[in-house]
Amino acid sequence: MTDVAALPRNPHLDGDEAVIRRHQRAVWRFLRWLGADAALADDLVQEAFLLLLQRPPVDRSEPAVAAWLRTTAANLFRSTGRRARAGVPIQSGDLLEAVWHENAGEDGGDGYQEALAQCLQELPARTRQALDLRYRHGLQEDALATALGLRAGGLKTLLRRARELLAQCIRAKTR
Amino acid sequence: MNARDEAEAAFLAAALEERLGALPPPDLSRAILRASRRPGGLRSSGAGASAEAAAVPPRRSALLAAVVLLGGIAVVGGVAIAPRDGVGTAVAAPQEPKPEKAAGPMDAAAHFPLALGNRWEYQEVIGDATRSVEVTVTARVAVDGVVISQLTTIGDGDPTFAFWSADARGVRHHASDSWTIDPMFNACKVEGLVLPSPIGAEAEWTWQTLPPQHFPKGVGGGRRKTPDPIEGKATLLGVGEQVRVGEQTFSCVHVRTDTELPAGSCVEHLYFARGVGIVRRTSKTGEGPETCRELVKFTPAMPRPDRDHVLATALGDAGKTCTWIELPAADDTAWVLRSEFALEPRQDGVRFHRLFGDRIAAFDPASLADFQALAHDEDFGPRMEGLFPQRMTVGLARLCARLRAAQLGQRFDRDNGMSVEIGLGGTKTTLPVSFVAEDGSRTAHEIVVRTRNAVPVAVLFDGR
Repeated sequence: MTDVAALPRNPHLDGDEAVIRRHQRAVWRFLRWLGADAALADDLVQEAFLLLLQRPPVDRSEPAVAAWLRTTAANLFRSTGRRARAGVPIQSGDLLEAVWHENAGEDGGDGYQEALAQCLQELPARTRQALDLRYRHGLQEDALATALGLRAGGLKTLLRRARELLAQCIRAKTR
Repeated sequence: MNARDEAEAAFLAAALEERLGALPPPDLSRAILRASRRPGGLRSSGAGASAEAAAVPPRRSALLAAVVLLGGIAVVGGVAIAPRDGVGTAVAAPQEPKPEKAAGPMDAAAHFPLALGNRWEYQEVIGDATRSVEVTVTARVAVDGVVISQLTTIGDGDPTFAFWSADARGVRHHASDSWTIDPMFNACKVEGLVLPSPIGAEAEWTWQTLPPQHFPKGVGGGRRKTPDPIEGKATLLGVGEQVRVGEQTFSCVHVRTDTELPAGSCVEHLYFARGVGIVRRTSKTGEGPETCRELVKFTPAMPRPDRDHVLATALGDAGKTCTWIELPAADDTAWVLRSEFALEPRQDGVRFHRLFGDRIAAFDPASLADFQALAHDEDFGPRMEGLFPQRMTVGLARLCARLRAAQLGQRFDRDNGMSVEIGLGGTKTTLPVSFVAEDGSRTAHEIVVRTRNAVPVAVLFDGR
């Protein structure tokens, strides 16, 4: 991982705004993946970029800046001690990077989102309904099972199958 | 599940929250640049919050809601009425507007899901009497930029209708300047804020509505006088209150409303559960008995498929040439039909397709059988057989006018008055209409729709 160098403050990284626009979505998604809620992700993205602008890395290539931002964001997230939602375990940096690259790719997750939108349309209606209730309306398992008329075991099976179908479909479209 | 699988699953879960929960990454570039130019830059709090974060539209967290709630409680609620301004202000709008942005965790809208077809079954107790009541979202129409949901209540009497919205502004009850048995929304710009968003940002607020107009006083002649509006107060009494109804326990937002009605002071308690809606509602007016309505079952509707996707699947390439026919909010049709209609241009004229749920069927406006199939799908019987059957027949007549005009390459411009005859079990609507051709010329036509027991038995265009 590229380290931070103590360079003079505010050197322009290919135009600060351009750098921020290029990377901010990926950093935000990365934080959400770690388990930050949306408000915390907003805050930490800003802090990470401010650190970048104040003390940019020596290697200013795009992949290096992206990796530096992810590491900084992960450290900031760890230091808050807040995990508002289930996220990926952050102990293993190598695994984190590998899975991130496989899924988010070079576009910070934009392609993954596009594929997800298409794959959702291809799911059976009842499966889409379950995901809709879970992720749009935020129903927890008990309420979700009640709404769908399922037992807890049936709900788990339905959601697991939904995730498998989506993962296969997205993989086929993005890799 | 190993660590890699967990990581993959977490990635998908975050993506689903972003996609379905409408939580896209924000553009923070300006806030970051402003902070970077400020001496000291962004100050980080222990919780990771930043001063400059305030420059970005903040995401309201549950913490904020709780803080505000603990700060004080007392709100005003009420029921209000608004002066009638003569003509309803509903403007042309698509029958099924584009999907709204989904509700966030503490958005009020998340506590009253109003997807088309959502259904709540309640048990209602008034004094010693108990009855079952079913409430269903039966239409969603954009009126002046707000998506209004029509909620039909079917109990042991005529169906009644109420109009609600749930969006970024909160959950609102929209007064309709008509009777509660009228399925048509007559906009009068009186709306009552029942649950502000984000929940907890306000501890008390005022709201307006019209008093319920149960009996059609004006029927039989004479213009009905619009009642005076009522203003009340609402108070947020709690979030996370555990409410047990039947076998289930819900974590609820509790709102109390106080309204001065002619019959006395009305106190109402509403309990909203996230993702479910109202699970308990109690009200007491003056010395009258308390009414308590408790949820028995909530059945969310299947999510509506993308209509273009359904059309493309059914018609192939022909689907790409179709256009959807928009039904204006000021038209009865928008409030009585859930079907949508697409027009397919063909060399030999035009053809219509009707979308209901996830099904597409050809629709011929000259075919009585097609209108009867429509009535069957729309479940007109229980929904429209009350004291206002004319909405159904007028709605069908206007639909017929729109489709017939399109067949002729013209546009349905307006009615030239109408007559409605309501008999025992049957209704007849005669609708003289004016069509406009591309060159501006007008032609007059007449549409007649007769229904019996909520089923069309004749749909005639110029007598045929």
